[in-house]
Amino acid sequence: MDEKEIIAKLQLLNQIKPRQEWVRNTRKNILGPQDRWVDFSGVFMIMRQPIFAVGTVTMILLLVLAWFGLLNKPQQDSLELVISEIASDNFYDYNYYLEKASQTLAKVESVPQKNEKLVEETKQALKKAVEKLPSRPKNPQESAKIVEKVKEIEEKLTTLAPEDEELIDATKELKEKTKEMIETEIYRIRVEAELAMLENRTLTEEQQALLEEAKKDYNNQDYLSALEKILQLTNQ
Amino acid sequence: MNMAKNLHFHFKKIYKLHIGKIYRFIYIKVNSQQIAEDLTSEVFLRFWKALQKENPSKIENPKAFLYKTARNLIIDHYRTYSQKKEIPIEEVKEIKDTSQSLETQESLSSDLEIVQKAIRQLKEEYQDVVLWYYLDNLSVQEIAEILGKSENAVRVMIHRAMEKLRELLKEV
Repeated sequence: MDEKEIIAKLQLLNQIKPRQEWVRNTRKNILGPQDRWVDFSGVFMIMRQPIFAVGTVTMILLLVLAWFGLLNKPQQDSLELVISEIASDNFYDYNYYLEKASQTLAKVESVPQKNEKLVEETKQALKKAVEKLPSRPKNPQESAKIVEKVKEIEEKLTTLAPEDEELIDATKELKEKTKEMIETEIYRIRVEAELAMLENRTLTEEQQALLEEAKKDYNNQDYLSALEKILQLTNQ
Repeated sequence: MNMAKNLHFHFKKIYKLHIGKIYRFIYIKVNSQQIAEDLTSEVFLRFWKALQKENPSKIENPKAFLYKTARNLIIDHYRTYSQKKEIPIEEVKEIKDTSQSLETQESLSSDLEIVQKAIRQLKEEYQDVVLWYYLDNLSVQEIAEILGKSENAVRVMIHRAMEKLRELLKEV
């Protein structure tokens, strides 16, 4: 049984939890009558009553109808945009937003009269891309693809909108996040290699303890701390 | 009035944050809901009294205070047991179980019970460090502060405790 399996078994102990009623009563007993426990269970109990349940369902239906109604009205342009953005947000990954940023940026110069809207769209796409960048790419090819795309956006920005500060900032943020992601990936690969090498080395008890801490950091995806511990133990 | 309000607020915050963990820590070690509830209540009562006596800022590390108090109460609890030798019948069974070899515990139905039994077979300090480090995510520094030991000593203890736990779980 390796350490990971033992830790997984230890995590089973998380199932042990105190009774909620006891938790409430104990706090009341300690703090005395001044203590006020905010209990929402009563609200949910009320909602289970048939009359409130019907009310809740009706309300939800009305909201859904309103949503569809609004989506079909062309004059509600901005609201439609907001709602459809919210609805679509979960469907697209960073690739979509990188591509969108790149395309809208390309149009900035070719359709000058729409610049303001396009700049805004590019900025939003860049923001979304930053949000959705993976913390860990699936493989080196994916990392390379992201770096290439970010470079492409940066180049377009330099040529097409070199003075737009908001766009420059948004691109800078994307670049920073990408850099961070790549650095993390490099640390991870280095830590994995070091851990594999250390498995075959004879270590003192203190070194072994440090190695286990490094493994724990590695499992928590804190690769920099893991690397620090590995360096510490190899210097001992 | 404001001071009292602040104390209440501070206590509630700490209580909410740690009640589950302190209860779990005690429960794993005493293996009785009733005793775990009593001891956990006592831990937080002492914390509340300490808060009232001292300025909250003087209790620099509430987490360390809670775990230290819990640890001392568990030790006192077992000390009282061994002196009185009057143990409720259901708890006699629970305590007896902890001294059994894992090989004899084939009847244990769940992994959870097996882990609990294995933990209880570790010596006291090993139990503490494993639970604090791997379950409650305390740092080596925090554990060192609670136990009054050096960080290196704590690292070695964690390593040895895990080795022992590995042996115990292998026997299952």
